[in-house]
Amino acid sequence: MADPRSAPDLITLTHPRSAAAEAYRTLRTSLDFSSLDQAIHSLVVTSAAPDEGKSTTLANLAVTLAQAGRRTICVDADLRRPSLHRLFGLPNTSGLTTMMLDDAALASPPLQAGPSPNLRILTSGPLPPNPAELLAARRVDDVLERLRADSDIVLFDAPPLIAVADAAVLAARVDGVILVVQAEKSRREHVQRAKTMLDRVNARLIGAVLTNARLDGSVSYYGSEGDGS
Amino acid sequence: MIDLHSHILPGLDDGARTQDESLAMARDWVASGVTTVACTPHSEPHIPKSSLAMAVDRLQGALDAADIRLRLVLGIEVFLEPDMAVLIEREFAFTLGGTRYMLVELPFEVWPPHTEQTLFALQLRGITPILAHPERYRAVQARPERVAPLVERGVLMQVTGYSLTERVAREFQKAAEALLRHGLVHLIASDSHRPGHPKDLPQARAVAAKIVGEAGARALVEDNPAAILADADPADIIAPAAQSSRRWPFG
Repeated sequence: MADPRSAPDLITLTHPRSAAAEAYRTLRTSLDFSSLDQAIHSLVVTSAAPDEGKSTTLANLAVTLAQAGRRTICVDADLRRPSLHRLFGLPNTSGLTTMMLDDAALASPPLQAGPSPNLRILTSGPLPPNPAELLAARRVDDVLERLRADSDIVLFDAPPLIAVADAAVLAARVDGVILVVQAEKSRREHVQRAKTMLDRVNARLIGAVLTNARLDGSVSYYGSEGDGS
Repeated sequence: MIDLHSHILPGLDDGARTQDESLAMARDWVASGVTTVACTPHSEPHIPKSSLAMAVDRLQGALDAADIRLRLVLGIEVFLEPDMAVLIEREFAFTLGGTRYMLVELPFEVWPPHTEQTLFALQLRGITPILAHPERYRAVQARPERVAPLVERGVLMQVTGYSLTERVAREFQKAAEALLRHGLVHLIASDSHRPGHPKDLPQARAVAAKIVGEAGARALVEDNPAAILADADPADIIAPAAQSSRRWPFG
């Protein structure tokens, strides 16, 4: 099903030798080092505001982890505007919400094969009328436990932090959070507010990823700003 | 064209009363350029699916004998209730022609509070609900955009032809046009109960074309219903967007 040629956003597959793919490998390495004191088996990837590239970042990070032999599961927990099924070119008939509400699906998760042998995808499934409520349910822990038992790392794509409560709720239950910040688009006060929200739920912010940065002198300036916030 | 909502089966509900009426309706469809009709009687807890399947076979035989070139498909118009699981297990609720698509309806006067949750529960079972005639529900007439979140979550909307041709009520027409302008309609069907009704479909298509263009109108009465009967991926069934024009400046 998943044809990488039909997934132009998966640069780690289409252009593995590009600078961008190298940046994802560097991110993978940073993950290894940031986890010296506590191993990371689950991560939330989110952003402060919508359309900052969180899903593309998550998908490429997942491909990179899988390419390094890590058994990786991507979960689309953006139950408002899911996009992983489109990114990976997969149907979305069942997925996370099915696992949340159907015991058979919890026992046997509706995972789909991704474009790398070690990568599997749990799409969002049908969209619920009450996403925040659903993601706050205890059942999320069962889902997480089930997926962890079957993988080395689980990556959750969660909705933007300051738009809705979903991401913060989920962030409190995983080992770490990566915040995606888009150069020249993300607003400083939004990123700061996102950081405050993560602190409030005792989530562990592992780092920020700067996307769409221009490859000139301004990068390091904005890069250090993004990292520090 | 393909019509996915009809009460052509004789003597089962408030639709056709006799087989002669069914045949007269069938001739109207053929004259209107319709090739396939889904038989969707109102769900009745005492009529099993097997009886409906037999009724479809019998009527198809009568059509073939009379050389009326119309293909019938078995379906049902399910009245949405909180516990759909039981109705599905007992086959009092089932999908159109064995696909993943189920035609469902709500009461006209009140919007039941369980509606969103029940539709989601159907989707969890792998069923894509098609909401019949949203424009006839008072809650939608008051605020057509209330169906937008349902559409975003993958519920399909079927407007009824006669609502657009102003044969019944002005409120139906206003709501149906508003839904089309907002790009919230996936299908137009006739919901025919009597001879004459099938002729609404070509007229409704012409009205819709003024709002969503010719290609959009074709999607509503040809491409989308064909995709549904082919059990295509729901992502392929797209509600046509309104064309910008002087008449609908904020389309």
